[in-house]
Amino acid sequence: MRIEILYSDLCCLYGDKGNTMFLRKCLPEAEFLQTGLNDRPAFLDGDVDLVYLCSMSEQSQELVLSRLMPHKDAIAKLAKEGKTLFFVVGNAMELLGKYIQREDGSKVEALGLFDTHAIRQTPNRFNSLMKISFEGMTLLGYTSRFSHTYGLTEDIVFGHVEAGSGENAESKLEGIYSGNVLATYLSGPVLVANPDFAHWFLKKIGAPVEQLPCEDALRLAYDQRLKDFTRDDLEMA
Amino acid sequence: MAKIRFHLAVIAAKLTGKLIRLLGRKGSHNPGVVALKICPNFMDLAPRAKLVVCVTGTNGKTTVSNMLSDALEVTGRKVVSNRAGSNIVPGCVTNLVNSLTWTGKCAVDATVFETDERASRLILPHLKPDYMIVTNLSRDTLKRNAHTDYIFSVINTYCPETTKLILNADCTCSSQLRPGNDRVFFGVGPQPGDHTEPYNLIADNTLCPKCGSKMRYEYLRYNHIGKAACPNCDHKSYDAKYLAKTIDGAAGKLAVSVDGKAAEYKLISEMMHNVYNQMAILALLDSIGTAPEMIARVFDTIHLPDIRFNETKVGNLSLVMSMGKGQNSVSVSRNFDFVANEPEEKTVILDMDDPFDRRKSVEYMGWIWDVEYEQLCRDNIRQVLITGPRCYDHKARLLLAGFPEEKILCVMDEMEAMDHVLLQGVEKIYLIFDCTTLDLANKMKAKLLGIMEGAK
Repeated sequence: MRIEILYSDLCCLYGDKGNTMFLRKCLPEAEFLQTGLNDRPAFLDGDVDLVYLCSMSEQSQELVLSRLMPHKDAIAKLAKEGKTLFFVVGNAMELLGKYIQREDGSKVEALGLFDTHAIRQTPNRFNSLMKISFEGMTLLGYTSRFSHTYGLTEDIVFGHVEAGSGENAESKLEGIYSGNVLATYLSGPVLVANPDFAHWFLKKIGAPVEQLPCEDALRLAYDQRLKDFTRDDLEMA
Repeated sequence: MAKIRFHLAVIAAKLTGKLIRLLGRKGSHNPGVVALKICPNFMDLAPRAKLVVCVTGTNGKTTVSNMLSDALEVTGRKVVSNRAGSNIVPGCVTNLVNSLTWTGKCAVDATVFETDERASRLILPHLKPDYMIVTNLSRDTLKRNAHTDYIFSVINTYCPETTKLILNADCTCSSQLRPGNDRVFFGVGPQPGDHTEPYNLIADNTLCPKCGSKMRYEYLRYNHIGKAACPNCDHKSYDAKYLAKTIDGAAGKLAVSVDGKAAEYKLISEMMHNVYNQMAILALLDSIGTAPEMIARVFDTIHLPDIRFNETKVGNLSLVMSMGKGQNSVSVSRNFDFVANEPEEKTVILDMDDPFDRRKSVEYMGWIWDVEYEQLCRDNIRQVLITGPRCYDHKARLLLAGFPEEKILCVMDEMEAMDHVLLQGVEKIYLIFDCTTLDLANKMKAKLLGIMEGAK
C-alpha cells in the first residue's frame, strides 16, 4: 500500500499528524510518501492508494491551490475513477469546491470537484464541537476555522450533524463522501478520536485490522468524550 | 468632554482596583473594563511614560515582561507592568491606570505591557509603544490563535511604524515582521548538540517565504528556531546584533557578542528558551542606552519568575512545579524535553486540562497529537500520572509514542491523583501544569508535599 501525504510542511495544523502517525502503526508495511510544496504529486503518476491532505492556513490554501490547479482535470478524473482515495481533513475540504471567497470579496478559483464554495470571515474565528452521524457511527470532534462552506447536498454529503455545526453555522450537512473523496471539516486526528470510524476507514482502504493500536485507551478516551458531549450544560460553539 | 471622561475613568478604575484588592483578588482586569466603559479611547488619551515597551510572541512573553520589569527597576526606573495577570485589552488598560496618579498624570518612568499577540491589533495602534519585543511565533491554541500566518498578519498589520522592534533572528517566522520598521535582532549562535535538519514533530515555517523551497539550516535548535537560508533564492536569516555565544551552565556565565564586541554576563537559566529570553532583555537594555556595567548588575539581580518554575525539597525527594501552556504543543514539548533530559529517576504528573473548556465545553484533544510524547520514553521516568477528563487521550498518545503501559496511570480527579504518585525509587517528581490551572496545581502541590512529608 502506498500512502501520499500532501504538503505536510504546510498542511499539518491541529494534530493532523495524529492520523498519519496512527496509520503508520496500523499499516507497518505501507509506504508513506511525503510530497513537498514544489514536488509533483505522486498520485498523478498512479499507484497511490490513499492521498491525505489536511488543514492549513488561508495563505497556504492559496499556495497549495497554485500547485494543484495545473492538475485540476487529472484530479477530477481520479476523484471519480480508479483506486486512489482522497482523504481530506479540516479546511482542506474548501479546495475541492468551485472557489474560496476572500474577506474583500475577491475569489480564488479552486479545484471545482463539487458544486460548493467557501467564504472566509477572518478575523471572526468559528469554533464548534461536532457530533456527526455516519453509517450508524457517531463521530466526535471539533472544528475551528475562519470560513464556512455552502452548497453541500444530500447526494455528496459525508455526515449529518447531531450536535454542533456542519458546513456552515446553520447547516446540518457535514463533509463530502462521493466517489473517491472523503472530506470532513472535523479538525485533526479524526481516526484516533473515533475508533469505530478508524476500523471503517481501514476496511475502506482494503487494510482491515482486528485490533487498533492502543484500542483500549482510544475507546476509553472516546467514551469519556461521548459522556462529556451529552452534558446538559454543554455549549457547542 | 473627552478630558472629563478620561479623568472620571481614571478615578473610577482606581477605585474599582482598590475595592477588588480589598476583596483579596488581583484586580488586573476589571479596572480596565471600567475605564473603557467610561472612556472608550482611554489608551489614546492616557499620558505616556518616557519608555513604553510591549512584549508579545507565542512563548516566553510572560517571562520576558516580568524579568524586563525587574530589570528596568534595577536601572533605577519606576516601572509598572501587567505582570499580575491579564494581557488583553482590559489588562493593558489596567496597567495604564496603574501608571497614572489620581489626577491622571503619569507617575512612572516606564510601562511594560505583556501583550497577547492576537489582541495586539486592539492594543498596539493605541499604545504606540517605543519598543516591542517579539519573543517568537509558533503554533498555539487552535481556537484563539488559529495559526502563525494569522498571528503574524495581525502584528504585521497593526504594529505602528514608529515602534522599534526587537526580534528573534532565529525565529524564521517572527523575524520577518515589519521590514520597514527600525529593527534589531537577538539570537543564540551555534551550540553543541545543534541540529541541521528539522527533527521535531512540529516544524512550521521551515519553507522559504519567497519561493516555497525547503530552507537549509546552518543550525537548528528546536521546531523552526535556528539560522536558515534558502538554497534557491536570496532569502536568509538576519544576523543577530545581540548574539549569545557560550552558555556555561556550570559556571553560570553567558558570553555574548553585542555588535561584534564580546561581553560576559551571569546566566539566568541554562534552558535554551530562557537564553533567548535573556538575550531579548539584553537587546532592549542596550537599545535604550544602558551601560554594560548596569546590564551586568541587572543580570546579577533578576531571576526567572517563581510561578513558572519552582522546586521544593522534602528529605531526599524534590517536587518540581513546571508551568506549560495547555493546548500549546510547542510549549509542552519544550517542557517535556527539559524534564526528560534531567538525569534523576523521576515521576511525571500531567495536569494539562483547561478548566475553562471543562466548564461548559470539551477540550479539543487534537493538540495532544502534536506534543512530543516520545521525549518521555526514558528509563528514568518511572511513572507518568495523567489527570483530567482527557487523561485517556494523553494515554493513547503516550502509548503510541512507545511508552510502557505499566508505567502509566490515569486518575481523572486531580486531587485524588496525588494519592497515587509514585514516591519510591525516585528522586524528583515533576508536576507539569497548564498556566490556567495554577490554583488547582498549587492545591495539588500542597497535598503532595504533605504526602511526601509523611513518607520521609
